[in-house]
Amino acid sequence: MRAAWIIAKNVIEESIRKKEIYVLFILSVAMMSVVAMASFFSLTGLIKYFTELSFLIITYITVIIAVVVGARQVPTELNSRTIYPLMAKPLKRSEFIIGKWLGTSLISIFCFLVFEGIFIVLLFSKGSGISCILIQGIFLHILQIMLISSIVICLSTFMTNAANATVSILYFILGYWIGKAISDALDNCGAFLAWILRSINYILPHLDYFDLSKKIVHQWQPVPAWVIITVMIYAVVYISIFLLIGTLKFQRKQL
Amino acid sequence: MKGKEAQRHRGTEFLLCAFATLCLCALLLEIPLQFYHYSAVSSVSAIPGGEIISKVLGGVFSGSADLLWLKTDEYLHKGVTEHSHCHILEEAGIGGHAQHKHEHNHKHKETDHRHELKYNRLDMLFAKLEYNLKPNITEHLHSKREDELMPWFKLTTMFNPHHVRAYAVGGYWLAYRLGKIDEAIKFMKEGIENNPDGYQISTQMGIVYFSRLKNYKKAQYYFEKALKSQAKMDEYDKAGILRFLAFSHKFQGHTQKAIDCYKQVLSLFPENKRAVQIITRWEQSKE
Repeated sequence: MRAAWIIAKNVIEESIRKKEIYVLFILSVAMMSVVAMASFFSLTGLIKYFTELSFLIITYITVIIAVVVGARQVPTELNSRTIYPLMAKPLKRSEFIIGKWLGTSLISIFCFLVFEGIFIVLLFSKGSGISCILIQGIFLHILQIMLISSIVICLSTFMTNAANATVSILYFILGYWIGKAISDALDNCGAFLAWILRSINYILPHLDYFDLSKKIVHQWQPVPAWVIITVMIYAVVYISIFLLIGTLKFQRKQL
Repeated sequence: MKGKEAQRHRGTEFLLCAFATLCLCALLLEIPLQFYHYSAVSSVSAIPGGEIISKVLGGVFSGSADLLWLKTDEYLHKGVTEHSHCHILEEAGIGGHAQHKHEHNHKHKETDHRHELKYNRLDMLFAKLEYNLKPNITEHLHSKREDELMPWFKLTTMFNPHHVRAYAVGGYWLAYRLGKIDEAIKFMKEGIENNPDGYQISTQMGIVYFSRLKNYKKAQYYFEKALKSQAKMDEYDKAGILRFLAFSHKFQGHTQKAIDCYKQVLSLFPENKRAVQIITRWEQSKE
């Protein structure tokens, strides 16, 4: 696993050298500041509106970071042929994939935590504080970032950079609606189609399970511990599956 | 090297375009079709093909406005918008509404049992997860936090200045629930400027002048403006405006005009005994 950690460190260092993260950072801080400063009908202390929009901005920006960083990992290594000296070293292909995933996840989680820090400072400035459900929401979002990173790394062994980014972002947007769409469709279909739809429902990861933003915005009570643990197991299972598929595909590549 | 750099730039451009397209698609998928007639952008355009562009952009803007409008309802019910999978829990007798419904339907145990068989343990687990992860029990917003609705009214009208309901309902909340009468009037005036035929806004404006400011002359002006509207208006709305107009005339001392208004109400609803009583009483007081 030491080799995987070295690969992960390289991913982080490379991401710090590139400019995309800084641009996205400035963009998100600017958007959050605009949201925080906006005034409506001379009303003060509008927390829910600020929380909702800030969460939306943070979620999208961190996912874009994960996709931009993750999508280029394997194709760039192959195109620039830097993969060959790496493979000449005592490095397993599974360690390479895990390292890429770990690096992508860590840099995205770091950015997410920085954004959350800024959000919490702005929240305090508006007279609100940290709630238990907010901490739960942050934890689930970290799991979501790790899951999305695993999807992106898995797809990067199959696709080009641009195609991977498109598919990943499309899945991120649609992943929230899968459960609802299938649930609605189940009411009006036959037994065979229902069986297929149910199977799709079970196979595809539901990204909405990692989203507590509505409960955070509307200040609900914390979610029971068993729910958090179940979602954590759910994430671990899917991350393992995607990394396994990515590794198997990468192992079959002739280098 | 230059070729590679150009390729990278093309890749970035493609990514940005793809992302923008995806966002638009997602947005369009969420647009409730019944609101399509509200268009933020005029279909008349001076540039060739501009009509199509304006229709597409108008659709995007009005779609965004509709999403923001739905937020007001979501905020009013503490984030509850849908009950995905809730029917599974209801049939199993789990959860807030479900619990209540289960107790209510206690006699139908046999039917419940048959339904339970339709869902396996995995279905139940997913349903319970969703139930716990999303707002699940409809509860109205605490009156002290009703101001949290207001940004969504404003944003709705910013995206679609022709969203009549957002102006009318927003004006109501500002004037009646938050006591911000000046802000309500300013907001609704903006709405009337953008929608001269939006009788709902003029009516709401008239009601604010009538009941909050007791300025019956101004109230009369707005009720008359609402009645002149070219927009389709149902009989109940028309009768409601006429009643307010009648009382605005009456409180200014114009009893005959008030009676005429009530006679119009009577022509719309001939069975309305209350209208007959009021007309009789006002005619007697005139004598």
